[in-house]
Amino acid sequence: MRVTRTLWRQHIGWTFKQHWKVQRHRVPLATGADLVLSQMNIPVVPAEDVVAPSPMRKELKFVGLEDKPLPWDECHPLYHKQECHMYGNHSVLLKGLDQAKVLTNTVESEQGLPAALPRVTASARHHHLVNNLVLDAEQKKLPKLKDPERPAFNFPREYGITDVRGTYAVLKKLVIESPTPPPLSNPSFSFLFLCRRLLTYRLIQLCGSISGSPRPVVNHTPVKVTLDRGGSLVQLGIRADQLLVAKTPLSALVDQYSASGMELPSLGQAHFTVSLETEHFYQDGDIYRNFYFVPDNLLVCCTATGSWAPHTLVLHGNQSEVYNLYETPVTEQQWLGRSLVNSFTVAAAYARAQYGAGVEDLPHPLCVQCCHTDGRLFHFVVLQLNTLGVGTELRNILWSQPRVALFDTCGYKDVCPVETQQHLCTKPSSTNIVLQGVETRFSGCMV
Amino acid sequence: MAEAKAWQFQCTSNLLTSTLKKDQTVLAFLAQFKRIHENGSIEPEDKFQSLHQATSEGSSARELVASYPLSAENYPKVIEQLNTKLDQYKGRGHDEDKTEAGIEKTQTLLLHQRSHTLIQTLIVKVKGYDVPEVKILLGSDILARLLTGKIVELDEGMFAVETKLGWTVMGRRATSINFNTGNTISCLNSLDISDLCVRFKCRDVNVPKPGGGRSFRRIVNFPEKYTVKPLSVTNLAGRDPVSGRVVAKGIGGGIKHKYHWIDWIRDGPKEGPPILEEVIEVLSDGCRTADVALVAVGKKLKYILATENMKPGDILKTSRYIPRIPVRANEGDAYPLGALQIGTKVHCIEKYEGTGGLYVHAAGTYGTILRHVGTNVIVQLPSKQEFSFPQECVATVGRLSNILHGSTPIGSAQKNRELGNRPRSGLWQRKTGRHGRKIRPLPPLRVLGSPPPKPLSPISLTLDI
Repeated sequence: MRVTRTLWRQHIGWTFKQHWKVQRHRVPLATGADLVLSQMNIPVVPAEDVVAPSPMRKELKFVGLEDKPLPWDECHPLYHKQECHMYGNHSVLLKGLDQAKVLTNTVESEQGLPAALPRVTASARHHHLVNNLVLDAEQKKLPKLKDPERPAFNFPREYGITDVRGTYAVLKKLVIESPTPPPLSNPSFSFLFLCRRLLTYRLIQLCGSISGSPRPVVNHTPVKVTLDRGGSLVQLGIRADQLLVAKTPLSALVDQYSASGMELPSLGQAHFTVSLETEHFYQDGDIYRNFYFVPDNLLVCCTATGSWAPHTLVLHGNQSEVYNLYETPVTEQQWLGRSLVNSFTVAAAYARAQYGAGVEDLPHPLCVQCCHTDGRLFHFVVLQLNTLGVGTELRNILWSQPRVALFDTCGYKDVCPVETQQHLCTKPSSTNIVLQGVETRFSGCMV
Repeated sequence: MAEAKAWQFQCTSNLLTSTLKKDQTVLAFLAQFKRIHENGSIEPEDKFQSLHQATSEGSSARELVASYPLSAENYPKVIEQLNTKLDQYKGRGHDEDKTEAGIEKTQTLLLHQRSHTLIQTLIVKVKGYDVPEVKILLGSDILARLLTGKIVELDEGMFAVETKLGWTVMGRRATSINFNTGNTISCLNSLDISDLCVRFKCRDVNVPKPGGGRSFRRIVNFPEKYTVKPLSVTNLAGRDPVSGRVVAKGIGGGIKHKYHWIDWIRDGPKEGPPILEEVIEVLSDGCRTADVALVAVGKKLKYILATENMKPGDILKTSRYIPRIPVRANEGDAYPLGALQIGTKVHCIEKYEGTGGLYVHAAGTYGTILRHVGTNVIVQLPSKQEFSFPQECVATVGRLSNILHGSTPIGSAQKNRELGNRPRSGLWQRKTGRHGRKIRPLPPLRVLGSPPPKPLSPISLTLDI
């Protein structure tokens, strides 16, 4: 159609614009030339690179500006070709205690905690629990409440005491008793009992009164160990919430070779590194710090340097900090497995610090205790570390018991702060504790 | 005219400029009179005389000077009065130490792009510095044309820049600079990016049509590597993510769900025994009707669609081997279609070998293997249509979970809103012949072969008129 003046005047070029909107997208014909050329071993290069090659730009450095962050690629200093399975503070293993046993080469030779150790009881005064778990002044936003039956319903947002604080609070107010000449008559101990100190400080006093050696407490220390477990590199990096340390480690409870050759639990189709996130960017090595202590009126004075051996690990396990990657609730077995892996991390880091990074079978096996708690439920574990290797006959030995509750509930009921408890006794080691509750809220408290 | 914004300045108009004769510059006058004023050998009366001569007829300065009788005693008074007048115009105290900077406009040559006008010079004063007089002020519009492009990095963050007028030094320094260095040009370029952007309206917007297997409900933010962590989702509410325009009506709102990334490819060995996988957990997924199973195989955790009777602890087999005798497959196992018996219920059927299960994902659905034709296997899908797949295409055995979903009514408008469906009106019309039961023969068998070659992406041309 000829574009005459009349026709142009009629549509003012609008038709051409509409045609152009469609015709501007030209699909190139695939001639297959690059395929033919590559078969003839002729290199095919994009034309833009030849005609107008990109100029080499000098990177200018300006005063006052920060350096650009390094890109996370193969040139990054933390990049390693071999990927590493990372176990962190929030991690739990998919198969729980069974997977932890395979990962740490551990077996459980007998159920429960070792029988040979003396017992210590501990209890919590009713009003201390209520004061710290119900009447505490902290008011923070708690996680949203969701009802799976009614997903659209938004519950009123609750404010209250966070679970992390609750754990600390309960540990502060636990009372220690011992059948041996009680240190409770000691005025310094009762002073300790009244003031806000951690459970482990009382353990120090107790242990101190029994054995006479100092056992200071280290708070929030990072402990890391990087291990090769059957070709897979695994890095266990945890935060030891409260670590009771001593000059010498706890000696082995049983013979090193008593559990050798025992079968490890089966994980089915899963590998022992399943559910551990892999990373190519990591810093390998171990962390076990030397602790330096300053004189403290309430602590046992110790200013010596050097490697302090881990004695007892108090581990906090709260729902807000510990989670599964696939966002389902953490199971009971997964909590138990966490105690084992974390105790193993602390023991292994110390062993490596003592005997070198290449140590496999320890010349002197050591014991580490762990109290894993979320403020209400307590899990006690004793781990004897015999070896850091895998595939050997030698096994590490674990004593563990199911989780026990200090109390049932502690909260408001009909606008009254209420706390219900139950009798629970366990057999601990000399430095572990037994939980014994008060019967009702009106009965007298122990100690 | 370009103004230096780096330092605060206040334009002052020199009273004397307004009294200048046209062929004299203030600078020259000031220089001249300063020499006279400071010259101790000249009598104050003579100084007074020259000041009188310097002022032009009819100006306020001439009036002020003339108001005082010509005498040596009055000369300092006149000077004082003139300065007071000047300060009044300045609006500030005369104390130079207190002023941060001052500019006295004098005449100079200002290069402007469109007109070479004799405007005024700028004498820039900065507190604490001795700034030389600016002889030429270049606007930022022409500065760029003077640059040749050569830049050399110097110390302390300074750069030597070549211009058509010669080399100059530019940069920003933390330390103070001594300005008594002759010809220096320092430019503190604070170019506002908003000056460059031009507001435009794009008329050629390609808005896609709904349908064709593409829903405008959500975009899943997939990371680079496969992960079992539930992924965050961007809800589109029926909008096209490119143009932002509403494409599909009736979508929006609803309970927000995270997306479980299903691993559609069930890969197995082409020979040898099949891979064993263990079901860890069966979860419900808000983004689909069927349930989802968390499966562990070796070091890997993945999600697959859960079948009818799947429960934690089940062992699933996966293989790509086609034996001579068909396999007796259990629910959840994944085998090539050529390995399965006729009549087997399957789901997650691959369209092309190795591309992942594409057909049959909805709750309670299944396809049925009907017959073998050559190397193809014919499967009837839930729509009753028959598809002919290559026998190497892997399918998962069994019926998908959540069977009651199809027979459960939504129940209420509120529930429909929870599902993310907004009110839709005007969809059903009486007597148009469009709505109602249809009785039609099935479309013919659809034969799937090898995938078609990927088309080249179109080149979009522009017409810059």
